Amino acid sequence: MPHVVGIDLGTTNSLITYMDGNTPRTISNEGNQVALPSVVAFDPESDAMTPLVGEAAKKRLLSHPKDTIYSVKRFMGKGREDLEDDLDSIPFTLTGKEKEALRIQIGAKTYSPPEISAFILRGLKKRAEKALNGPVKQAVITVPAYFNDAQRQATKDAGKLAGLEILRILNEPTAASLAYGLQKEKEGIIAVYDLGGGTFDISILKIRNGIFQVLSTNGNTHLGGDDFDQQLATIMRDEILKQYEVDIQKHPEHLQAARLLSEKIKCQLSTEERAEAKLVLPNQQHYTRQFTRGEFETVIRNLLERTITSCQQALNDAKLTPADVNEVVLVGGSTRIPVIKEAVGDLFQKVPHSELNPDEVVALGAAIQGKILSGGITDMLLLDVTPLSLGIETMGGVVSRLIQRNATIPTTAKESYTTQVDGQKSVKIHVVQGERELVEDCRSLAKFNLTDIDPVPAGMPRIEVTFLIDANGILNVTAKDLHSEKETSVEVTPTYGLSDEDTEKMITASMEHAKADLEKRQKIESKNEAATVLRHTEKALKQGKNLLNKSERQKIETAVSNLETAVAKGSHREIREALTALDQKTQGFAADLMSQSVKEALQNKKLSDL
Amino acid sequence: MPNKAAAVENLFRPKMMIQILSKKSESIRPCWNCQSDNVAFYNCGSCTSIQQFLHDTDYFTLFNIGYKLSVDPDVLEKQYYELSRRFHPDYYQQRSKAEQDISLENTALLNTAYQTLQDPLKKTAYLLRLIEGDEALPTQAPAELFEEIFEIQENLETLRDLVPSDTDSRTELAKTLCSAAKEMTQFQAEENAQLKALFLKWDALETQRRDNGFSAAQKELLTKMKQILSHAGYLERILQDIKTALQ
Repeated sequence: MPHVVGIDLGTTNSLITYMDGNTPRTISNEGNQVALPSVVAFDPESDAMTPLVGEAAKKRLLSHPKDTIYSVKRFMGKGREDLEDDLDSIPFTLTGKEKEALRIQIGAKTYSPPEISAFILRGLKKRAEKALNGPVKQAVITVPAYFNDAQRQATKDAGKLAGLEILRILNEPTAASLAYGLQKEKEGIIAVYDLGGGTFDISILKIRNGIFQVLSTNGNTHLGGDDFDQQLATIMRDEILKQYEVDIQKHPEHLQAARLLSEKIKCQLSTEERAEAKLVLPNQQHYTRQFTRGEFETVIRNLLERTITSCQQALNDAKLTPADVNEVVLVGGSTRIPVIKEAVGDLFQKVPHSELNPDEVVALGAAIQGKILSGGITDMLLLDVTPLSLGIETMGGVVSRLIQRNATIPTTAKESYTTQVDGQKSVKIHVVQGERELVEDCRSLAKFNLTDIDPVPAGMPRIEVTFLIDANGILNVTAKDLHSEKETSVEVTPTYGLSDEDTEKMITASMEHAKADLEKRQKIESKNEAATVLRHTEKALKQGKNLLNKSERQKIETAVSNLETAVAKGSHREIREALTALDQKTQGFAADLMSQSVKEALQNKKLSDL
Repeated sequence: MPNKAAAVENLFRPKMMIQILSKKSESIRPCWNCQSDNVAFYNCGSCTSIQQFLHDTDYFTLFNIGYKLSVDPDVLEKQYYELSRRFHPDYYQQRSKAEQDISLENTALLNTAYQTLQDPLKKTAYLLRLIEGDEALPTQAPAELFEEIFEIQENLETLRDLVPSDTDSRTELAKTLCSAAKEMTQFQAEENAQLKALFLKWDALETQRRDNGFSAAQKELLTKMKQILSHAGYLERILQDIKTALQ
């Protein structure tokens, strides 16, 4: 059986895992490194289409800051206006208009964040294929639990672009709980505190009889180790400006060096009481400074408090107190910081678990979920939630909430719409995500346009719109005209991110197997359809024996056997053609059959029953 | 601008009382996939395909708890886990697209059902809608609190019109509103306790019920529940107003 891999697509590092029997394992490279740095380096002077990824790319951070992309996860599903505060500290160039998805400028070309992430995913995929000695096609990718719809969709797009079928977008803390649960075989209430490079999540779960039920989740998709580094880097930048009158903001190489130095100091201060910063300035002067652990703790205090507030909110939403929580699990590299461990321990009144490797536990959980999805594990089941409420814009820019945050997914809500003007043919729906009352304070997800409405007097149409959040936490919208019982078309314009059309285009353009994959998918779809049609035709031929003369029957039978041949060895296109042919041949017969069954039904009833 | 025309949580069409009482529609329906009649509880006995919920399956029937309102949360949870194991999309990933779709829809509905049955107010609203077919429930101020509520409204208005510099009056008003909110919450708690008592009475009558409809006594209980529900909606809104004003 081909492997379903688990992937932790992290802000700083990414990992890939698989199931070795019932044990999840990480896959390392030839150099025995488990983590692949989430860095992508382009060389605009070279002709090579594929950039460097991982360790090799990381080496270019200092020498080529403008063409080396790091922490791209922070830009997934985001618009320019989301990043105002950060733009200063990023050495590469971001483009894109307000209220549109961001793009990253490399030389004359621009890339979307999912495209950059796809390079990382391809690197992981190659590594796994080499280690497992076979193709890797299906994957479970983890995302922060607090990721919104656009960020999830962007991650899914990245997977598609890398030539992977994404079986599931899985929440990171939930993945961690799976790995934890499998290893510890414990039951009860657990809290997973996940502080990574760029994001923070808290999830409260109940584990019982193999069911992992998420009770609530909270977090911040823009709070992590990167921000701690940034705090230190800002101190250095300000001091350098004051003491040496040099603005390193204007020197991408030095800005990058200060950031990398901050990261080093942060890590050092987790084990030592003090650390020294040394930086050679653009004017060749030397900047030196001592940082103490206490100083670092003061600097990050504010950010730390915000994670604690999130934890309290999650407990409130789960209707629990800290004492109800049996175990606390720490996930993510930033939980190595002693003051963070302490604060979490204080809140939950117990010593948190950190014996599972906080860098690997999420990726290991993803492999387990992969095995559940491929039918290899049947006694474990995850019941996850949607982190944010979903609503629609109503009169006056007010949000009407359809799905509450922390609702178990999949979940649906239905809403009926009608027209306001005679002959109106379309209705617009604006969907937002967030907890605030006004549309402008929430996150715009997409605008849906219901089209093809019959032009009738205002208020007559009854269009029932179904909002469904699937098990990936991604929204799907369908609409039905209750009067005509027909599906209404829904045109989607995502606010941030790629339309389906964009993604398809990029897939076709992407180098790896795109075309073959598309053909394969279409073939599977048409094969499924053919199987259904063949079954129905066979049944109909039996039921309506008396309705067909010999030549009519023969025509249908020929079309049936043509379709069967096409399914057996034809291409997607041949199957489609055979399907259409059969459909044409059976149309009259189907109508006759229908009226016959109506007649039969009527004969069995008395007039008074009608 | 879209028109909100239906209550959001109402995933099922409102039913006439008579229809929910006769469970005939729950009986045999052939498998959508292989047309076999051998369909037992949402799975086909012949081809094992998952079966879609019938259009009029209600939450109580789905959880197999009758139309009872005071069901032990542990019983409910056990049933929810069992049904989740039966329908969850994770277990249908390797099946046909059609089966995946049914599993998704069934699970989405199951999750909404569980959420509704866990919450006393939502559960009551759902039962009322099922029996009386009301689309939207009225919200109504409790007559006992009429004077207090009038005062709250007045204070809220004064607070809104206050100049920002007048911190003394602001603090004074905030104090008054806080204690008023406490009183409202207290009243809410009392009514919730009453609601639970009504649930027990309802369940006792429900156990005795024959298929010929709800008794006059049950209808009387429903009227009382409806009143508590309409108060709850009103109090929720006024508490929200106070909260917003104090922020």
